[in-house]
Amino acid sequence: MKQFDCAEYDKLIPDYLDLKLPAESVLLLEAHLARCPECTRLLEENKACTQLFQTTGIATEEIHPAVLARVQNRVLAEIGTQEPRRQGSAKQRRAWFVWVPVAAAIMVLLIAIPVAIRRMPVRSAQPEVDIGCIVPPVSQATTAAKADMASAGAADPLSGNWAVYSGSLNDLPLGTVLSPDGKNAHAPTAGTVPQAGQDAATVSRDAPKITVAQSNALPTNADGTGLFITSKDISSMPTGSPFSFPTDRLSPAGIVLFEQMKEADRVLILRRSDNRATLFLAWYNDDQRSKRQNIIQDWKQTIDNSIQISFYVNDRLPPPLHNLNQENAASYRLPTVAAGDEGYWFCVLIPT
Amino acid sequence: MEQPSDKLIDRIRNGDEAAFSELMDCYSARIMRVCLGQTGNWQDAEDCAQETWIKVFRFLHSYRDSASVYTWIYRICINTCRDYQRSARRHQAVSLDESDDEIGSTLGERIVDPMPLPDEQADRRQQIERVRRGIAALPPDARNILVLRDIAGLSYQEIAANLRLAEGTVKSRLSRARASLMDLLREQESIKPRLKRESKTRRSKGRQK
Repeated sequence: MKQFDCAEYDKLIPDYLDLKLPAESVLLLEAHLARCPECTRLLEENKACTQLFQTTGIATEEIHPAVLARVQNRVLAEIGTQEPRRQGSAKQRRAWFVWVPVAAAIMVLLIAIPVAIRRMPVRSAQPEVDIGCIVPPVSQATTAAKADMASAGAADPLSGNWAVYSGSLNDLPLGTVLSPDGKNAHAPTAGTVPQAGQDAATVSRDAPKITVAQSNALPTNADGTGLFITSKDISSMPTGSPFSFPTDRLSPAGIVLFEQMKEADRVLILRRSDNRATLFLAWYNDDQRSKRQNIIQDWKQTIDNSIQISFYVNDRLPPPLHNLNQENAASYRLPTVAAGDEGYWFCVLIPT
Repeated sequence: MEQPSDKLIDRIRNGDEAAFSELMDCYSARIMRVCLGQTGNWQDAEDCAQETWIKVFRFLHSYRDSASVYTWIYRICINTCRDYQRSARRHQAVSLDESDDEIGSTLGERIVDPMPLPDEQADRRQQIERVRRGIAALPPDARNILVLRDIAGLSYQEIAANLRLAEGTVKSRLSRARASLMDLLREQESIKPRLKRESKTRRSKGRQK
């Protein structure tokens, strides 16, 4: 009989609860459950969850016909104005031939006019984007961070300058070379997970998604000083890993990063206290860009060495935070790191 | 639910609106539930459901018989919800003054519920909203699987094909997702009384001033 290790048992649980697990596997699972409290808990949670779905009737909940009718009417109104796409009809082929010269003419004009008037150089296939943000060398890396990097067999990325890019990576074309003023930064290779020595925040948009191996609360160092992101492998780095600067480095780093925040398309600034945070400022769109610049100016005046800044890299605004704005600041629980989180946003936490 | 006939699909491909309405009648409630599970609120769910159906209509020509039409529609639905949430975060300064105390008072629900409900029903509705918000707060991978299996009732095989995962992975993630959901719901429960206490304290402080 095949023996499983613990991680193999969770996949048996759904069938076990549906009474669809083969007898052989039932025996295996039950024997394992008898000695594994964690899997037993998982089973209990699954039972509770399926029971909850049943008692609430969430899967069979009647949707009010008025809602369905409203959606349907809107859809029909929308599609009433368009034909479904068909493949290779004679009509389409004719349309294709008619539009090719027109499209070509438009393309030529679009390309030629700006070039002729402004005499702009043609952009290279891999344009350089000035990320313009050099954080001074950090000389006082925490012991934990250093040990982390040593165990990864990596060169110490904190020994040189490193770059933080907080713009929207989504808008950069594939193959874009991130150029931190041509200085000593760790440019990521597009389409790859950043390796040791690369700053996590400069991961390319096409990097494999950040997957968190386990669901847990905010990571902290054993000595409570906060973590440096070592970026040895972003796939093993919990999303939301904060990195903080030693206080003697904070001021320049903070200011530079605030400058960069002007360009980031999603920025949250939260005041942090224990495991809760108060939203201080939040920006989501261009309309508020000038406003945010003014606020950043004001903030520069108020930074002092007592403030630590942590940056969060994440794409998925946790729903409670999603509902916040600066007028609406309230106390919220910090987002927890959860399995499957992916992507980018920036969140600045300021402990109080 | 019966699989729509090829004839129906052909009729839709030929621009037959009545046939498309028929298809929507078949699945609109289920799609709406998936959207609710994905977004956690009625207003966004309606928008996503609408967008899903428009895409179904537009892209029906690319539908192949290899997948059943409803798993194909669910795939569109899930992608639509994901894109919608991304774009909402990108383009909107969200100002939803919604707290845990206000479950069930969203615009959508006011529209859904023009008549007051008996207490028991109202409690159940409130509980559904709570669970739904919990589901929406799950990470995307966990949420997709949970919604497809426990809300939409797709088979493991269909989910695996839909998400391009092995069936074992689907089951494994499902069991983890359910446990995460229960954790989340418990967390919400423990936060709620504290929030209430805090807001009460704030209010009383305000009065003292």
